[in-house]
Amino acid sequence: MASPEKLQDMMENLEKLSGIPSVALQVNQLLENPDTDAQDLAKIIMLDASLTAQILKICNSAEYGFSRKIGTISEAVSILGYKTLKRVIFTIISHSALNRPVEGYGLEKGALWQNALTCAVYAQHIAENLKFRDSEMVFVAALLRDIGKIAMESYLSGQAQSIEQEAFQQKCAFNEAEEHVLGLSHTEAGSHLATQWNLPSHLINVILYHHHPSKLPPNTSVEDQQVVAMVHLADCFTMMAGEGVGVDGLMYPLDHAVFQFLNLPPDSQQMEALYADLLDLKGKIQAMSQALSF
Amino acid sequence: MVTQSLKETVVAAGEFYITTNTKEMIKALRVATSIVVVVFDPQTGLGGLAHMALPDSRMSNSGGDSGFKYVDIALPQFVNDLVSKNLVKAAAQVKIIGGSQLFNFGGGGGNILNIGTRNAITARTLLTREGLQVEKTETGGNKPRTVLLDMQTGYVQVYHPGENPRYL
Repeated sequence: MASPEKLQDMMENLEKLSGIPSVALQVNQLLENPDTDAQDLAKIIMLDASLTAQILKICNSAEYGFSRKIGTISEAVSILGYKTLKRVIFTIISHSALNRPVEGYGLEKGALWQNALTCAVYAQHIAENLKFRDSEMVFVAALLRDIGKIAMESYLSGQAQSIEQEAFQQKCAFNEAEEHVLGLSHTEAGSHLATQWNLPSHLINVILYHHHPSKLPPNTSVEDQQVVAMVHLADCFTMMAGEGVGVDGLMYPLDHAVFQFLNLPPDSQQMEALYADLLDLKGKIQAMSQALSF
Repeated sequence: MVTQSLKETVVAAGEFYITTNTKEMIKALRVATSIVVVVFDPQTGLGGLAHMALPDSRMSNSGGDSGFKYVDIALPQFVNDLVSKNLVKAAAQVKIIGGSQLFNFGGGGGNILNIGTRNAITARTLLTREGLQVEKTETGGNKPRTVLLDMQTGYVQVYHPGENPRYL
């Protein structure tokens, strides 16, 4: 575990780099409460002109295909509903945080964002296939899972080879090797950040355990286990597709606990057919990415 | 002297591309469990790259997907198109790259998602069946690879994220 000073240093680094709009985080907290008044929500969103413009642009993109133009935030709130609005806001947050070069991980500008968006679309598809009650929540969780890489990247520069060697020698995943070599992993860094942002527990669980669902604390709710498991599967498929994959490559194992959490048979043919379906979502991912090119 | 810049063509998974343009660089980015077959014929200057994600179209949910993301669909068509453009099979330089795998430390049922290994085996088998000899391979491991074919020279370069390109 990293010393408190090192952790503080890393977190300050992330705060400095992230450029995440504080209004977006405020709005997220309001969206957690189903009793929040829609007009109050719209007023807070409108405090941030850039966030307002980005929400309207996404609402009017081909992805949503509304027959009429959405011209105000009040309209967007009433038409989209809170769940979808939350997904839109987190997409904007993630885009501003992740759409940058992450050289420590060998990622040029856009690669980590592409990775996050691909994983989010894959995870949402898996959730819909399994008829999970809130697939938009799974989308958001997948989008944010690797936010800790932004904090870790400057510490990873020049260390990637040592971490890789550690992973092979100890037969452990890359994030565990990060912890052995650097004192902190990107999953831990991400969970500290999510805690600072007051994100809900299921998001913190996904960020911390998405490479190892079997290590979730035993008292984790069944629903949280399922969210982590779906993001884990989506993460494996995203790595396999190579989308925005960096120096850590595919150096993470498939955790077989996901089959138990999701009540799925550990069947190669079924997994391969699912992967084939996910690859066909490429056009959708490109369209979403284009909608965010400001 | 005016230096003409190279045209770069990126071939995504589920696509193949063939050209004789010597001012062209053909690329496949971050090939992970997918497999890339590169063919260059120095006699005719014909070159091509096929980028495929899955070995066997019979494993799809529909039971018979015809997309070029499958090695068993794309590779025979790729070779057929090369031959129709006068590929000299005996002269062709053929390389197979990709087929990485997720970490698997011998845990139970570890063969689930062994798509990378099967992609590499299927590509080699089909190329042999098509009468093409594989000159070089770089497959397996746990990292994605970016692949470049320089149409002027036929040289193929490969690199992992964060590393420098090297010739294959």
